[in-house]
Parts: sequence; structure tokens; C-alpha cells
Amino acid sequence: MKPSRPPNPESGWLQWASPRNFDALAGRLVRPLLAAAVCLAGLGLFWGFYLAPIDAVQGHSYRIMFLHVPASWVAMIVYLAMAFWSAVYLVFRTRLSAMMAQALAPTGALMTLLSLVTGSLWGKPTWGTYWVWDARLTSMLLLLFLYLGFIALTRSVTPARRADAAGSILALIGAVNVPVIYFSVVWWNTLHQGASISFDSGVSIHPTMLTALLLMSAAAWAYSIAVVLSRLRVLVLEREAQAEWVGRRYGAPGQSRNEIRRLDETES
Amino acid sequence: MSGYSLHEWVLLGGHGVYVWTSLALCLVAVLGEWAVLRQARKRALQRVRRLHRAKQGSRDNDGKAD
Amino acid sequence: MRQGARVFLGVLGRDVSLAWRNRLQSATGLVFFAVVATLFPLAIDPQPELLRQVGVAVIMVGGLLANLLTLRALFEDDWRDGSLSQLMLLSIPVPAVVLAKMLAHSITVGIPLTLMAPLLAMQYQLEGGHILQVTLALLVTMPILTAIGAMGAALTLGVPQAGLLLALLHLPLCVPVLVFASQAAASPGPAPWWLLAALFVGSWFFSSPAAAAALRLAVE
Repeated sequence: MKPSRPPNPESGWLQWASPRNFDALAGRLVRPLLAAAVCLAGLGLFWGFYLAPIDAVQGHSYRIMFLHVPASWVAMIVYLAMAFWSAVYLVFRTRLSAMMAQALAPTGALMTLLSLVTGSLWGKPTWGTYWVWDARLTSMLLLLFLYLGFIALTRSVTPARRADAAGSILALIGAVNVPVIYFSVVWWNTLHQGASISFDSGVSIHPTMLTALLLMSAAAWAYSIAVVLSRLRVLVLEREAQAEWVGRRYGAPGQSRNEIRRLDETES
Repeated sequence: MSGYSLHEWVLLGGHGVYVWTSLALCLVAVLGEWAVLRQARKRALQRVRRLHRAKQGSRDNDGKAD
Repeated sequence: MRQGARVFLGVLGRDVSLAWRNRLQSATGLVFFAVVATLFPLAIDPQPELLRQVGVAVIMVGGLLANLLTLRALFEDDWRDGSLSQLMLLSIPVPAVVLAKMLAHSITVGIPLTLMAPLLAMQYQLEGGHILQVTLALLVTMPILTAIGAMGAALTLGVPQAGLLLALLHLPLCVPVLVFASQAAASPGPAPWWLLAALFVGSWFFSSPAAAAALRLAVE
């Protein structure tokens, strides 16, 4: 009777779970993504800060929306991605999945912080104060704490395997709680503030604004993916430093990017 | 927004401070994150090269010592 | 089954008697609670109307923080002298051990804090009916906080800066409890109580396996 073969890490989707293959793939993706991000951002900023008209209710301050909304989106979805990869790690025990979650966290945290700061700067001309305890800003603040907790835990716990597993558990606990937290904050807000304050209240969406918003969102996504892939490559370098393939690909000093690319191609 | 003078564009009806500060902070954050990452990559590569050199060194020595 | 129950009660009894033996240390939370509730009026103009408005919030937040202070000891003392790994080798599954410890914590920390609430409520000029309301809300809240805290305590077991880390992890997860409990304590209506009940069941159900998984990581 033929013994069952383990999944072949050389072909099929599982090959990308190997740090070595991932490193090669990600290395080729980062620069095009960054280039796309720069172009999209340039276009988006031109559209939003130059072409888009003044708003009847909020004047020019609404333009912060082109920074605040993409940052908020990325902040929220990166957390979901973190939870997803944490679940993958807990099920499949592939190291790279846990490392992906840890690579996502700093970018998510930074985007959350930018969302809070831009939201605060938007609030000042709109409502006169730098901080408003509305549902969205408060939820963003709590999301920031969730991110910081994950980062602090995964950096404090040793050895790396325990950090991976503990971080994954924490990310899942957080993900399960995010809807509960959001619901409770919205509930709290409607109880005590009567009419819900919304940042977008009164801003009539002009098609130019929508284009600018889409461009900036795409730019934020391209940038974030590029940064996360980059950070994951650095994590791989740090944790797999002893591995043979790392030595072969990066060991020789002063290798140019073209040499590394040629080495990648001859290897695969 | 087109059709405004440069002066008006910078001031943005008094809201310029908030809008341009937001943009500046976002740029600083994005560039800062990228810079920190490049530093981390450089450090990781240096460590890899040191380890690789040490391994080569011990391998050469093993070859000689018999 | 009966053997399992006996082991469960054994763990429970052990934790309760240990807490009683170290009652000076266990009293840290109580003292903290009293201190917080006493300091607040000294920092503001203690008008009865103002006190009545902030009283519920001070009691809730003070209780939460007092509970947080005692959370580290939930697993750490046992981990330090090696008895935690022994507990995990018992015939009952590890989540059941965690449940027993959480129950012991609720009894030895949650109940005393809850019993202090009426005294503090009186200091904040709350009336009879309201005092009962606040106390009941705290009674339900404390076990929920224990459950949430058990996960954090297990995840940060033996980690440097565990106290700081635990507080950071604990805080965002406590927000729903705080929101619903404050509403239950301050306003009429059954809605927040149902939400609290849901949180109670959910938190105890999910935290025991989660904390058990984290404990296995710490003890390996």
C-alpha cells in the first residue's frame, strides 16, 4: 500500500508558506506596489486638494476626509487580516502566517494613529474641539490599544514560538471583541448624545470628491501592502538568519539588487 | 478649487492650517515608517552576513583540520 | 463525573484558602478601591449633585482597576513555585482548572469589592434604591472582569513588564462591560442587564479555553 505523501511544498499554494519562496515573490512585488502608491497618491491629492470644489457646509476642512477615510479603512481591515493570519497559524502552524500577523500590526497601528490625528484636526474646524467622544473616534482609539497590546505582547514574549502562538490567540480575542466593542461604543454614544454626530454630516458628495477618495484609498492600500510585505521580508531575514538559503541569497556582502534577483532566478 | 489664487489655496478659507498639517503629518508618518523599515532591513542583512562569514570560516577550518 | 467534581472543588477550595491565608495581600484591591473613591471628591468641589452624577462612574472604574490589580496573582504565584504545571496535570481538563481559579477569584476578590460598594455609594450621596442598583451591577460585573482578565493574565504569564502589558491588553476588552454596567447601575430599564448577562455567559464560556491554551504556552 502506498504511504500517503505529505503536501508538496514545491508546488501548489502551500509553496508560498515557505519563507524562502515568499521572500523571492515579495521582493518582486514591493517596488511596483510602491510606484503604484506614489502615482495614485499624487493623482488623488491633486484631485482632492485642487480639483474638488469647496463644500457648502464644511468649507475646505472636509478635504481632510481624503486622508482620514483611507487611513481608517486600512486600520480596520488590517486588523481583520491580522486575525485571519493568526487563525491560519493556529490551524496550520505555518510560521510565516504568524510572522505575517506581526508584520501587519505596526502598519495597522500607524494608520489608526493617523486616523485619530486627522480626525482630531478635522474636528477642530468642524465642531470647535480637538477631540469628540463620538462612536468612530472612540472606537479608533480602542483599536489603537488593541494594536499596541498585540505589538507589546509579541515583542515581550520569548521564545519566538510562544510569541507567535500567544499573539495569535490575542489577535483572535481582539477580533471577536471588535464588534462587541463597536456596538457598545455606538450604544453609549446614542444614549448620551442624542443625535449622532457624524463627520460626513452635511458633506454632499460631488463626483470629483468620490474620485479623489477612491484614488487615495487605492494609494493607501498599495502603500500598506508594500510596507507589510517589506516588513515581513525583514522579519524572515531576522528569524531565518541561520538558514542555508538565507546565507546563499544574502550572505555575500555588497550584493547588488540585480545579483540577488539573478540568484533567485537560478534557484527557482 | 481650480481658479483660486495660490494665496487662497494655501489658506483654504482659514482651514488651511488643519488641512496642510494633516497632509504633512501623513507624509511624515509614511516616510518615517519606510525609513525605519529600511534601517531594520540593513541591520538584518548585516547580521546575516556576519553569520554567513562565521559559518564559512568554521567550514574552511573544518576542511583544514583533519 | 463525581470524581471530576471533587477535583474541581479541590482546586477551588485550595485557591480560596490560599487567598484567605494571604489575606493582607488580597486586601490590596479593597484598599485601592477605597482610596480611589475617597480621593475623587477631594479633587473636585464635592457638591452633592455632582457627586451623585459621578458616583456610579467612580465606583465602576474604581472597581475595575481594583480587580485589575489582583489579576496578576491569578496564575503567577502558582506558576512561580511550579504548582501550576501540577494543576494542569490533574484529571480534569485545563479549562476546568481555569474555571475553578476564576470562580475562586470572583469569590475572594469580586465579592469583597462588591460588598464595599454600598459604603462608597453612600459617600457619593446615592439613595437607597440606587445603592442597591450599583451594588447589583458591580456584582455581575466583577466575574466578567475576572474572565476577561484571566485571558490576559495567562497570555502575559512570566513575561517581563507583565503588569503593564496586562493593563494594556485588559483595557480595550473591558470597555463593553464598563459601558453596559454603568448604564445598568445608573438608569432604569432591563436592556443593559440583558447585555450584561450575555457578556457574563460569553466571557466565562470563551475565556476558559482561551486562557487554558495560553497557560499551556507558558508552562511548556
